Amino acid sequence: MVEPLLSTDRLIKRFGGLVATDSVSIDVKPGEIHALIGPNGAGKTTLVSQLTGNLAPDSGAIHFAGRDVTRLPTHARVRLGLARSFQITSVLREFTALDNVALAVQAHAGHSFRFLADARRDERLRGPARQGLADVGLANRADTPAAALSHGEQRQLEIAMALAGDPRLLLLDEPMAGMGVEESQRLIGFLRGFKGRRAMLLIEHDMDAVFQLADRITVLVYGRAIASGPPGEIRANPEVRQAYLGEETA
Amino acid sequence: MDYLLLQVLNGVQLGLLMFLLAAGLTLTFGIMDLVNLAHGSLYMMGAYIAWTLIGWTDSFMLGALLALPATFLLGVAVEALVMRRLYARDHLDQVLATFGLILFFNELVRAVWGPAGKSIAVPGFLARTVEILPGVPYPAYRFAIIVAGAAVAALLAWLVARTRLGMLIRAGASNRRMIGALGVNIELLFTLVFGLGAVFAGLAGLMAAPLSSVKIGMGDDILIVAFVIIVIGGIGSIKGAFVAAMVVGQIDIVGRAFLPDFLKTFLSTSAASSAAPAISQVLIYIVMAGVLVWRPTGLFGQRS
Amino acid sequence: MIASLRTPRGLATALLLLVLAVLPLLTQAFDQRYLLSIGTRIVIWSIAAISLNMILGYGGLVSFGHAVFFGIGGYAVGILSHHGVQSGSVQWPVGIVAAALWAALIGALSLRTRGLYFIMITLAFAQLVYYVSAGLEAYGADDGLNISRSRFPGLIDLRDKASFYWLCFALLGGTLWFCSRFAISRFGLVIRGAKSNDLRMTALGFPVFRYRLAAFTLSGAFGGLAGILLANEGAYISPAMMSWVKSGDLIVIVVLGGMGTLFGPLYGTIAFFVLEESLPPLLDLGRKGWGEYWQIVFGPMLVLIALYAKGGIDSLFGRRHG
Repeated sequence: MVEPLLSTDRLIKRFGGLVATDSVSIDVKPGEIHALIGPNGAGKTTLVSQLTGNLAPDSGAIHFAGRDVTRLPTHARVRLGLARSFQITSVLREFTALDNVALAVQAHAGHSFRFLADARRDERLRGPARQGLADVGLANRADTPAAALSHGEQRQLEIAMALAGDPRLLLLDEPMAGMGVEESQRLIGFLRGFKGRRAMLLIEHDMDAVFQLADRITVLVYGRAIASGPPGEIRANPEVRQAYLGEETA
Repeated sequence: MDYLLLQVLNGVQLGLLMFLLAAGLTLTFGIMDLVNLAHGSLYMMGAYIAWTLIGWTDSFMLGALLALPATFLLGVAVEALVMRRLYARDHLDQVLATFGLILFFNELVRAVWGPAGKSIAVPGFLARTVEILPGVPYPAYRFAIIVAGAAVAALLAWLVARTRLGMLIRAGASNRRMIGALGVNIELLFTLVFGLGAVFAGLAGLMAAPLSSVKIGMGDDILIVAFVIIVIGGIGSIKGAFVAAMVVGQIDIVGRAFLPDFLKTFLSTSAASSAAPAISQVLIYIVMAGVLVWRPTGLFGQRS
Repeated sequence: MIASLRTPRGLATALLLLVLAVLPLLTQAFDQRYLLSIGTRIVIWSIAAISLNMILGYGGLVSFGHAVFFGIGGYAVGILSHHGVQSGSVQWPVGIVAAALWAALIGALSLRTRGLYFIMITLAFAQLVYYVSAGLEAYGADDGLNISRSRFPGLIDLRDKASFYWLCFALLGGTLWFCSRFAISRFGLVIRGAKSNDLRMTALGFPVFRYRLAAFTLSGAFGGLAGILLANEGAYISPAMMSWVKSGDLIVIVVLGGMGTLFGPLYGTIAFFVLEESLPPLLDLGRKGWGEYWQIVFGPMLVLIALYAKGGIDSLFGRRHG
């Protein structure tokens, strides 16, 4: 059995009387694309926030890359190789696309306590940044301010930024949200290229993307993981169909 | 022992005055997310308006009572003209604009009432002492402040806990966006809250006036203590403002009272007397720093 | 450093710097010694404004209480001088280090807070220092203290107004140079990124608190330098140097000049001093005696600037390119 890259152990999070995360134990294996699905309000974003360190669980543990990261601050988890993209696009709006990715590169390149050298001409940052933009198809938008990018382009930028540090695990929070059909297909193809090479935890509503990409799917309903397994198994699971898929014309 | 009791009572009196000032401020901060540096100006205007009205009516009570609606109207005017445009802005804009208001009000007061300070005499019927305990006299006016302050605090507590307005205030303090979704007339709510805060500030100003004086900029230094109180108590929390105000009141008064003696054990008399007020001020900030380390959003503030 | 002399912005700035560089010669030629004194204070305040701009303009940290560094730098010099330590090469480093240490302490406590808390806390701690100084009988308490200027034997006589001015101007140049490097350095980009979206920066892996603390400390150090110069300018220290009104004035200056720009603080300082000197006589023209109440006009002007002119003077030069 391969040691999971990321695992949670009975994670619990309450908000007053509401149990947002109900003893959730999931894991992501290295190189695996693991999708997390569930109806709105199931607690997916709350779970992700605990994984990234933005929210502290009430009880339970989180392990990443062999370490207990339950109490580790967000930026430290990122340095360990856990990167995320945001559900609501969160790029640096006043900066150009290239600047955004360059900063992401800089975060992992270190040496950020340099005061005198011009970082804008530093090829050790710009080079990988340009490559990162090219990888997601934004090469020609490098000098555009992020605020001026289209919604889909901003989502692509988000992913480029998340990838800049060569993360071991990519946490993608609804990357397809608001994207057109063509853009989604392109992104799916791009992400599929990571199969086996880079682990991904994918939160998505777009079932098409989920079934095209996922090696494993976990279904979250009312904060509880009601099922977890390969796509075929999940599709056939009666509980899942009733709670979630059954509501859609799959 | 009597001396200690008197100082504790003075601390309660100061605490209640500070609570009046801080309550409006914490509501404005918590509900409207508005940093209002000019709140101290409302404190000052309350005192000056009261001075004028007391002079016209030749009666402290009448003048003071009339000053309250006047201050309310002033608050509403300020809200409508300036504050309303600042709600959607970032904090820097609010700091800048309300800083400008402070300068404006200070200069306005100087132009209208002159640069010299004014004084309001303690009303005749309160210029005596009451016996708190047998054989322990306490200035009646200060006692009246305690009674009035406690009454207002109780009124505010009732307002917040039992009325629709209070419910909106509590809801707004914890989730601003939600109250908009409830279909409430937000503009009216904000105007009312700001006006209410203005009245409390003005009331504090006019009640404090007979104890010190009415002068230009009188609200500005007090305001910073109000900030400390809010930070300690937690932004948006009336209960927090009350608790913190009482604590600060005790530290300030009891500190002022006993620190000189403590300092005189190793400093000269004159050095001790002038250092003591400064150091008791420092105590307040040390308490604030301590609270911040333990709870970055104050004792009763929202955990972000 | 200056983008291009062909743009209006570049040209104006170059001219301004030129005038400032030769100011003592000009004031001597026109026999306006008073102007040299104002010029010196403008240069000194510009240094303070630049230091605030680093964290406010570039970093988005609304620190209300920056004038406290005027006080710490000034009082370090004053207290040492009072006790017989006249040498500038001892006083000045002490002042700068003291300011930096205080900034580090305050930063550590306040940078963990956000929004309104941060503003009020920085203000409160500045007041703390103010009250402590006002309580120091030995150093003049409220009234302040006359001090003798720092000595730099063999190097420069600070009592000579022209020499002192050029020293300040040189230090302004140094501060501008540092700021220009800072703004585009790796460190500066982190600070600016955090202003744009600090949660995003954290999610990228930057421990934002550490960078902000470093920036805050640096900013305090430069502020302390300005305080040292101010104390030497008037040969006088007093708690009023660090009143919260002065802190407010500094914020006004930074916004007025154009936040997050290199020369904005310089323009802002000049504009502020010009307003301060010219509004009273202007109002007197309207009616004799009105000039005394110039802040009745200045106050609302600030409100209007806050509402409608956030770009500051820098924005008057038109869009920036590149």
